[in-house]
Amino acid sequence: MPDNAANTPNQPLTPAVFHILLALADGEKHGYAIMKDVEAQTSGQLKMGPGTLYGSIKRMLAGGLIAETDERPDMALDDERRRYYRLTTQGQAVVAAESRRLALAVKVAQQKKVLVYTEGRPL
Amino acid sequence: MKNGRWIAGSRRLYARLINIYPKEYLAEYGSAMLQVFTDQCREISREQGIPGLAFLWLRTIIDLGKTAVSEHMHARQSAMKLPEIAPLAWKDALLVLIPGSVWLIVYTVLLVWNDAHLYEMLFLSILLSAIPILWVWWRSKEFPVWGLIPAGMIVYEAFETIYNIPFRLSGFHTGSWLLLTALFFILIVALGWRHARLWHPSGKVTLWLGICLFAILTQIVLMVFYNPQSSHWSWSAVLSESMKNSYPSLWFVVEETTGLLLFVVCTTMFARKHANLSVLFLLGYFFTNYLSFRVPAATAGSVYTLVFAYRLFLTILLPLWIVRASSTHSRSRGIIIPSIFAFLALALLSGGIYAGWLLNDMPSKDSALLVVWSVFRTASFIAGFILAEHLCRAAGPLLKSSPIQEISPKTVQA
Repeated sequence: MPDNAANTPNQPLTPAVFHILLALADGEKHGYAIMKDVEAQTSGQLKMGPGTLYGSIKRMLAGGLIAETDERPDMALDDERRRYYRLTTQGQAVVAAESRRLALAVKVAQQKKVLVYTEGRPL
Repeated sequence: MKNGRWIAGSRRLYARLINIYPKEYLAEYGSAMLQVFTDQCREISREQGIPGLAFLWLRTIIDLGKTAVSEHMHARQSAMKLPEIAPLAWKDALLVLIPGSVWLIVYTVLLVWNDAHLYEMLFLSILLSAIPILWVWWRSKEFPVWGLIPAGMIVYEAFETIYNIPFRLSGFHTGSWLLLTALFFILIVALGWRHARLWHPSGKVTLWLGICLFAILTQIVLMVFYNPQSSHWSWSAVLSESMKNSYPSLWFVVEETTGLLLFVVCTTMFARKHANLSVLFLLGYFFTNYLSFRVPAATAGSVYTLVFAYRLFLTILLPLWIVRASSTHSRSRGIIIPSIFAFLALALLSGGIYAGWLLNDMPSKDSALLVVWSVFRTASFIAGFILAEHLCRAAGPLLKSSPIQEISPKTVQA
């Protein structure tokens, strides 16, 4: 089990990695579901292609942030050839640390009046 | 139904296009990527029709090109794993020994016959050795261990040729000498800085770099403040290209030491694949850094014995010990012990030649200083060799970077 220091990203994650981790935060998903979730999270601003998606997944698997799972949410509804992924404990710690870092950055941006909101949306 | 045909066609085309990814990557993720792309095609053609499909293709082609390049680079990097520190098999060791054996035989023949045609044949064989190396490198995508020594020899010859072009064109000129030296110096500093940033060299690296630089600076100081070619100090004499009466010039010292430092840094470029076996590349530099003297018969035996000892240690014993060593520790000893013996022979030889002892001349009043110069020259060689070995070992920690660093913005395509 890696120690806490290893669970904390010492560099900001890329948008693709961060949003994939977020997509898996509420349960395991297959590739296309991750892609749709990321698109929804970013209001369509981050559209990943299959190459970016699986390139990121490959490195996240190697980094121990996510793991492949054999379980299927509902076999009747899904194609068994699809590959499902879930967050690991390390992945949860990393996405939490990155979220805190971003939240802190937003707080500072608000204090410095960099973020100006109009009708609930930042300008 | 019309859209169904477009989807099937797109799927077939994408299945062909993804073949540009590395084979291992394709075997692992190819079918999953094809599945995701098919899902995208289905949904977009249902919602946006053929124009939507065209936009999807546009995005996909960009994604495909960008990530295929990235995956090929990752595949290359992961292929560059440090080899296990195990002795090289005898058949591979014999391949490594071929350039040294040829060099030793030619030099032994040269000592007896002194035929200039042999030099030409030797240099031609060095150039031709590039062909099998490049072929194997291209086919296997990995630089072969047995190609390290010939590569060092080829690069040394290229270095010498480039360095000598301005002098051959317009004769010796201080301006062109300074320009070339400055260019090589900038190159060394840039490469050294890059390595330092990547590998955070240990204290031992700094120590040996310090010894190397000290030995080099001492040689330069000796050449500047002690000028054997003139009783009066002058820049023109110090910068003189000629080596009258076998005396070294400042130009010679700077050219040789710049080359040595450049080779030390270049050696570490092979370290990610070959670990400290990459010191073999630096050996190529010492092979080609030849010794040729017209020796009076009275001292011929001593000189020939020293030349032969130097060559034997450097061309056969040193590479053999390095490639057959069974642990990192014994490999380090294999690099250090024979190289010290070889360079001591060089120190005796060049010191004796410059001092006039081995040339059977009357020893000059400055002979002691010339011996000191030879000792510092040799010390810079030894320090350079050990420095290269430490730099090669320092390449190891880079491969053990944490998973978080692995998915840094530089390595993950966003």
